[in-house]
Amino acid sequence: MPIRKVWRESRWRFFFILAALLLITCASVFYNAKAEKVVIESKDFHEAGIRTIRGALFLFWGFSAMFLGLGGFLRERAVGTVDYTLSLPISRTRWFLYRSLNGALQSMAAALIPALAVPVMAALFGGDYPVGDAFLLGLRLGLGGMLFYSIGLLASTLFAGDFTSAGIGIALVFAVNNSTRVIESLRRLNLQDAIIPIYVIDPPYLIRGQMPWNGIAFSLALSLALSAWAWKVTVARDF
Amino acid sequence: MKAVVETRDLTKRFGNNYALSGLTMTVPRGHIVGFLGRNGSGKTTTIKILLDVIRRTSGEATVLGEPTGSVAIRRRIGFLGEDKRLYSYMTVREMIAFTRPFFPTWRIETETRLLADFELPLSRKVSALSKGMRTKLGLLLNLCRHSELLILDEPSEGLDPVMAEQMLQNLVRQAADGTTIFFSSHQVAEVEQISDHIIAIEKGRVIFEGSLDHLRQRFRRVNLVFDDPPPPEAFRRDGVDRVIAQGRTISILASRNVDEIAELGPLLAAKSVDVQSVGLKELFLEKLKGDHANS
Repeated sequence: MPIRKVWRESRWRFFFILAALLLITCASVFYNAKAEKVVIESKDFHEAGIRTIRGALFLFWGFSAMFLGLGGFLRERAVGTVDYTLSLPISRTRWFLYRSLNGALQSMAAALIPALAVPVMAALFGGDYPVGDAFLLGLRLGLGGMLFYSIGLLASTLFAGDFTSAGIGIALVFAVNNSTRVIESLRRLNLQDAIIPIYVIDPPYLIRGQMPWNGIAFSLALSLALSAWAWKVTVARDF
Repeated sequence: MKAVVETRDLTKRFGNNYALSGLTMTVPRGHIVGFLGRNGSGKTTTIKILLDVIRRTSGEATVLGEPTGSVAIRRRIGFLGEDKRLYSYMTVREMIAFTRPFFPTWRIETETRLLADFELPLSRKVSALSKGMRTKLGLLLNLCRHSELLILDEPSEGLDPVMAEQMLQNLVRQAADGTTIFFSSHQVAEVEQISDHIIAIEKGRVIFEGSLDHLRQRFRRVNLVFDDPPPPEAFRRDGVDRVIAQGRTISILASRNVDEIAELGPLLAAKSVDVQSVGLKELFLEKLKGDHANS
């Protein structure tokens, strides 16, 4: 029942985002493959694949995950249904749990499915990209980048209005990503490196050695903290 | 008198403004209770506190004997909001199927009867329903629950007279089935039409409450005509709510000591004394004027 409601409210946004990410991923693989003629000739899509996942997919997925975090009671207040929802015998905590789990799973799917499109694209060109690598990179993107999703979740509980929370969310995603690139002391916290470290992009562009699970764990912990904040606000505020 | 809703010194502050300032009221079980007040008097704020949509600043509020916010009591109550907004992306069928499992006392036979009575198109999306149709759907979703308490916020707002009448009659039928109806309105006529208990508020405080019969019996207007009217203060005494001097006439609204006031007329050389009963509308307006004069 409640999970059906949160799914119904978010499914078209999810499908739109998923379609957009798939399009971006396929276009990026195609562009990278065409740009490097040698890739086509050698049928080696490793570089095109890693560039796509680490580049275009990471960037657009970050913003998409933030968008998938939007919604909730403030949004319902704007459309006038919050009174009905809150009069049903379900606690605010449960509603929040259903919404945040639904969004988190959608974010994960929006990372995994486009990443798995890379080996499909490679196969279409008659080449090869390991499915295992694509899956692992997509999984790391989804887990490590959950921070972006939590930013959207928190913004939508703090600020009324879709445009306000989306605008603040986009600004925060930019700030988080760019500050860890520009400020030397924060470099170790860069999500792009934490999720897909720079060393995997040297030839042969495949995952080698130990991945930085600490970075992913740190990002997940931060994400949980932001989600807990969003939960506290949801439980306490007036609608 | 068992109460289904009780509030004591309930206050709600939005910034520097008080929407409720010490609201103390009791909604008795088994009655149709009209919650009367002007726009902005605090009716919706009170209802939202009872539903735990907003939180009180101070004071106490209980619904069915439990503090507001209890999830368990929401299984035993129904609510229909002023806008009758429901999930626009669902069809009528989906809206019913979504709501039904939350309520163990849901009656399928009532659902079937109301679907036929209201002629609701099951496959139409809520977003495509008129406000009248949305009201019917909202009523169906609440009446099928057979809850102990049904709370409605301005239920007839925006409805045509036929639809409003149909809705009021459904509320009366539900009350006869044992449900306490607590509905807010700023329309005295509809409150007077179906309610047997009134709670009137202004500026977040109760200005009068009681059973409609009792209020009608209790309040009287005494009109006195003089050649040379005495000062209004001559009539100030316990039970006198308002004294209005207009030319040679002095009009007194009183809830007690009516006989004493009427007897005072000849003693003060009144040419005529007339004691009248007071309608709810008149009482409400007089109390509002009195409240404004006092503030």
